Amino acid sequence: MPAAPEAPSRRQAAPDPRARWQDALLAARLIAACGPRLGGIHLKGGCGPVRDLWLDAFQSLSGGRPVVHMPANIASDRLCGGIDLQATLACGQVVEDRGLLVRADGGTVLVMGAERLDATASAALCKALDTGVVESTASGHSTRTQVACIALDEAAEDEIGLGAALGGRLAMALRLDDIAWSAIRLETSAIVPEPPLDCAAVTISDSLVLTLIKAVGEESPRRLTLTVSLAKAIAALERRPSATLRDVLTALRLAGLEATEQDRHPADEQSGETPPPPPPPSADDAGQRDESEPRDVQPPDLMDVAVAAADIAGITLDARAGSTAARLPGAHGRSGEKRKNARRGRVTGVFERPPFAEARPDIAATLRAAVPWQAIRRAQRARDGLPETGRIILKTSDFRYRHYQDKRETAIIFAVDASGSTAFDRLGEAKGAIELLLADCYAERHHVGLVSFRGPGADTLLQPTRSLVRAKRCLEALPGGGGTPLAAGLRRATELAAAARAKGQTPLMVFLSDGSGNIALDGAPGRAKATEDAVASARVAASLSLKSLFIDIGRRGQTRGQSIADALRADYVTLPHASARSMSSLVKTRVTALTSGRERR
Amino acid sequence: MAFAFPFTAIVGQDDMKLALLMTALDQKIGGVLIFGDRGTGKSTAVRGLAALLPPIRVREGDRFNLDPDRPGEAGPEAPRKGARPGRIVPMPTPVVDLPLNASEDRVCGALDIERALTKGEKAFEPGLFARAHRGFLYIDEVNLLEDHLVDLLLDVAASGTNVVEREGLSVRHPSRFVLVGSGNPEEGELRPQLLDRFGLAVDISASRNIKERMEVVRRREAFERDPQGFCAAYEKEANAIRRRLKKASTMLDGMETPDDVLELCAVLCMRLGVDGMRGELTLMRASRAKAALEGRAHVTRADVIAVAPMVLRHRLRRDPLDETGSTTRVERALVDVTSTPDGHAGRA
Repeated sequence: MPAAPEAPSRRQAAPDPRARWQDALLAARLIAACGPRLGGIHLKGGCGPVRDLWLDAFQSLSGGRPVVHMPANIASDRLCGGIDLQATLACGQVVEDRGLLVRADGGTVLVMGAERLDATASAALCKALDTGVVESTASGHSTRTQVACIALDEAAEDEIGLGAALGGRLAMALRLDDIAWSAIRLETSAIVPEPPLDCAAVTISDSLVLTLIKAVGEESPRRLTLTVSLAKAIAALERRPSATLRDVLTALRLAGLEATEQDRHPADEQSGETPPPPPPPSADDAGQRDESEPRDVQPPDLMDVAVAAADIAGITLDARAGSTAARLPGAHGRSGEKRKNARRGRVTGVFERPPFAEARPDIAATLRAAVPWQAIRRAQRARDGLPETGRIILKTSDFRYRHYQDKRETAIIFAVDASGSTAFDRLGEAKGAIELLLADCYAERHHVGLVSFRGPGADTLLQPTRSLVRAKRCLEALPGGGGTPLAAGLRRATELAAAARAKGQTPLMVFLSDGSGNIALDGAPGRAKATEDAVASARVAASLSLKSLFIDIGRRGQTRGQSIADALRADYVTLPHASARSMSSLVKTRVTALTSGRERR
Repeated sequence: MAFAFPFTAIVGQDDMKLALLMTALDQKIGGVLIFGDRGTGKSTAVRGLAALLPPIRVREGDRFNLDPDRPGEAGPEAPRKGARPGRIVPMPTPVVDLPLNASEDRVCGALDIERALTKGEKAFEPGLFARAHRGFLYIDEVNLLEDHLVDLLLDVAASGTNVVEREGLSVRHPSRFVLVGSGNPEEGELRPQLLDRFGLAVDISASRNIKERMEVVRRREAFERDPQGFCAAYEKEANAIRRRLKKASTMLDGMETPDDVLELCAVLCMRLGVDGMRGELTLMRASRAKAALEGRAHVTRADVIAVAPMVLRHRLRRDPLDETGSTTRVERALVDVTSTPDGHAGRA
């Protein structure tokens, strides 16, 4: 990766909040004018007055067209349409309810908490964006709908945000929460609704498309066509028949992509138009660069305009190869301890027994269960002398409930002893082993955190994250040497594990150490106090019933590691001589055992 | 109805297009799994494919797409006494989407609530499995499909029959379809059983060729400006493919498979440790389909070599510590097999 970790701060130089606010307003106008063509906006950052103001502005820009709020935990039938229970029961025949996506036709869906959107809802939304069609969950009847989507992604810096499936279909990416309230001015009354606009008629020259191709780089062809549409939409908004370089640069900025220096100041700009001043770095460059975005990769020099123009056919964009592994946050498919009878998550089936006390029945299934009995029940009613009723007769036994299963994420926290006692001969192996494990963690969508302890105390090298690249980078840079502040390491790992659990993840701590601490919690040297502190810290972790694995990487058969592991109530493994590979496969089996089913809450 | 982006207008991705056409030609090949980067036209290809396929013959009003030329194929609805069977009409080959959020009822069919409520009849409302019969069943993001739906799919895909035993209904109807799945492997693995149901697997990635990318943009633009005109412009190519499919299907009937081709299939599968006969059979069928699509009446070893990666790559046993991709392993085996004397280094 060419981008060094300190790169963001370097490029933080000129985030002009006013220009960014203007961009945000432009984005709102674009969505209001030609939303469905552009997919929508990935709006990052937490809620706040600026975001509220922006949403108000967007509402006014939309005129009377619908702006529908969609909660992240929306049920499929509410999203795509299903059976309307009240109406169905009242009139004795199936009445379908329009789903949210159909109600939003011609307008915009605001996805609240988009980082939590589950796979099925995301798939339905993506399909609606792609094909303009929604299929009702009850009858499969399809309805046409043209919507744009604004995904409000409140993921914190290190968290995994919006899934790639939806994210990849939204033309723009913005961040609003770091624009200061004082920097903006907005007369809401001055906003006039943006009429729908056809941007398909706008033309764009080959050289500008080439500029876009280079800036989009390795990202998907969909990102490319979306950005082309975006440039055309910007031109359409300015009532220009064809897109200019300025439009293209604005489009790249709004898309969160960067133009190369040559593109900003092309020597042969024939239109005579003055290029705009270098645009401020887009929102997510301002320090909020998250690992899931491949955008922090500098466009390679290879993709210089002159070269490309000279020989278009021969050039490939392979300079960015290798960055693919770092992207794709894909918030799905994560594995962890399975929670049966969960209140949310994926449906595992429909049963007679409610999964939890206040569960709501599944309407369609309940009706289906009741319907075959109607004739008999009516006859029974007549025999009992009760008046006839036009309504369906339900009994308690008819009720059916959906059962859910919520797969929890696993967060594996590695605590590595980088002290002098283990470092020099074992640290390399430990690093190697963790690196191999990281690949597995990535495949399993585990979150990985990294703590090292050496010298006076412990450092959190990496908050639990799912970015393989970042974890690897941290690991490689891990120095060794110094005392062994085992107690501090235990404590730090415990803190991270507890925090992960508070977020709903299943934490697992993996300690790689020889267990011979010689620095106490307060940083003072001395083996006796250090050991005492370490055991105490281990007991704290055990008392929180955090699962852990202690890998003793000490040279000789010692009992120190064993006693710490006992206090932790950890699985204890000794690895006096082991290669990185055997260490990794061992940890892997433990991780699998710990995360699959054996513990259930 | 909106216009679908034409199959023939998709730039590049030849493997995917070939695989789809091969399964369209010979359903027994058993479906395609398309794994690869996002936004590379996976769904577009499948949705565009529908327009190329020849229509199927059905009886008017039949909700189970039964084949009138196969009287043995019986649906759950017995014809009413004295009623004459409906007219035979052409119907576009169904390409049915199975959405991730589909309910079990929608997929395999369930009690028809409407009729039950209004008429008190216990009737079966066919689901997606019935609609997909003799056509394609497409699942986008198949690796995210929920387990209870995968279970249903496994049974039906293997047996070709959908059996519904629920809510007092006992129904079975034929459901043979070409299963097409697409997804991004980094977001989750496919259950091995489901993997096995796919005949072919193609890996696709976004083109890195600037000229191709340019063409992607150009065509997409032209399509957005004038969908109808764009589709019409590609109609000629579509017709060519339709003719090719038709010709290929007649060729396939009379095609003989020489012994050296069968032997190569067997040697390759053995070499790669592919279990069971399914790999070999699919390899043979795919080779024949490829030859037929190219207008040749003879299948050669070169055909086998060309299709081997897409037939075998998803059937290899996985070794999690082996970094080598399965495609590379198939290619290596191909080199070994074709260059050793017992593999008859020959016409390849």
